[in-house]
Amino acid sequence: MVGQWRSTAAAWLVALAPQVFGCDPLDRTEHAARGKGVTVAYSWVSGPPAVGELATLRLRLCDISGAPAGGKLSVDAVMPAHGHGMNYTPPTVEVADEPVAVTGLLFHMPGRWQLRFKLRGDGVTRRAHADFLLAH
Amino acid sequence: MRTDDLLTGCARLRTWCVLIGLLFSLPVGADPLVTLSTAERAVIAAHAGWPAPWQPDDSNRVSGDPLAAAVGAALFFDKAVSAGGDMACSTCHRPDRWFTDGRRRAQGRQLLKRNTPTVVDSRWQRWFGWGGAHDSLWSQSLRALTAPDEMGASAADVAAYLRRDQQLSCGLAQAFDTSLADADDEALLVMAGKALAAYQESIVTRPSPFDRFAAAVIAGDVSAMQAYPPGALAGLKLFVGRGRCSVCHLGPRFTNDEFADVAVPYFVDGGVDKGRFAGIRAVRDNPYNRLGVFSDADADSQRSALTQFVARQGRNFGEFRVPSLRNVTRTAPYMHDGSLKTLAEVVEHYSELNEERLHASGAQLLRALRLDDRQKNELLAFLRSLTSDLVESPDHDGLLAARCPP
Repeated sequence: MVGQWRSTAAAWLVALAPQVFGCDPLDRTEHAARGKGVTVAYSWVSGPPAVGELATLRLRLCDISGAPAGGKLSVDAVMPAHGHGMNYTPPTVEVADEPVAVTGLLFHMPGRWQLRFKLRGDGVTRRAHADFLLAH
Repeated sequence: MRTDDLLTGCARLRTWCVLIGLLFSLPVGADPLVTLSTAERAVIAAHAGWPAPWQPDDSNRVSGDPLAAAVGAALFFDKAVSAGGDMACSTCHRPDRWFTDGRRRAQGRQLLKRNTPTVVDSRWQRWFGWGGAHDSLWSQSLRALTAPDEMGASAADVAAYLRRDQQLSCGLAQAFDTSLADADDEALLVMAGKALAAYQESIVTRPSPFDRFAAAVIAGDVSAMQAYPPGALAGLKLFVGRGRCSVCHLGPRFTNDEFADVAVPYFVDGGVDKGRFAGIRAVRDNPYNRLGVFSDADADSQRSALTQFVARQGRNFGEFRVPSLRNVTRTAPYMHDGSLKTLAEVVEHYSELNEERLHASGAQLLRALRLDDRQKNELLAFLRSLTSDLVESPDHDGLLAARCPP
């Protein structure tokens, strides 16, 4: 009897607990870039990027159902107000179920940058982007 | 309270308000903290901290090694290392001229198309040469040694020179912890380049008046801040504010270590200087780059990743390295082609910038600043406040003599 009550309580607790759905950020260090058909959850490896320092992103990708999305991922960044991008091209990575790391990002000026994610697979290209402010 | 008491109180309050207002409108030098906004203080703090942290160059296994620096110093000042025995590194990088030559364009075995950059504080650089054709100081040094229009030495020349000189051979063998007997000409050439780099890395500067001011801003030390000239402070505010100079000239070195088109013509005798566009191709094709067999860097080196991932884009055409502004008063003439004789001309250039000369696909960042004479002088006063002395050089000759008696 007691065991059955415990099982029921545990089931209710699980049901009421906040759910992390697909690529919803796991914590405050992770951010989401939502695009058409793809959401990219990303966080900076070794802390937020600094101007002029090589930066690496850790990424999870989900489709609209929240399931992992796969394909060839390329990451770029631009400064919309300045009309230029980075001076470096991060290598394209193959994404499947597991999180991936993308390195080769270097932001050479302070200001507003826009990260641009492009996922190609199954004959379609899906894009997402996210803005962030880089201080001096 | 009576009415006349109230009126007296109000009058006293007005007096205090006037006094407080006067205090806040005092000349800049009275209390710099008052005149700096929170944003300005944050940007100034981002330029603070000299000398900046430094890690030895992982592509050069003798980087930071005192004996290698001593061998490099001997090489740097010896004309015998050049093809004709008439030119040393120090011919163009003269210590009495802050390791530049004071000329508009460098004079090697022929007149070169670019201005001679200083090697002072070069240990912090990421890219070398105005177009960034080299990704390490040793690779850049090899170019100067061997380029036919610079010192013109071949690997065989340099190797023969080193083999002849017992003291330098001894120093190299000890610094690299190897026997030179089996080293071929190219291996010896690379050792010479790495020793030259170790020496140049040792030429560094002390903190400047700006650094003392920035430290005082961070500490909130008003009396130390007041030692900074008011004109320089006004120029600094322009530099980090309306001038937007610190978008590229940022951090303790006052450079983002990258490249920019600043509307300086890139036409040279017989063609154009492609700047960074050619530099990227050159660094990729260079057998002495950080990814090549002569580099000591590990495969996962962060610095080498930049050589691997650097992107060649159309806008790189006519871009040149953003130089550090530390001790900029000592390195005239200015720009990649030495076309501006004085720092006042440089300020004038940015004030009256010809925007039509900017690359059409380049960064939409530069605009003519249209400074008045007072602002130009303030900007110059700020730039002068980045002036400092060299850190005293180690006794390279003494160390080499002690380890390898002549």
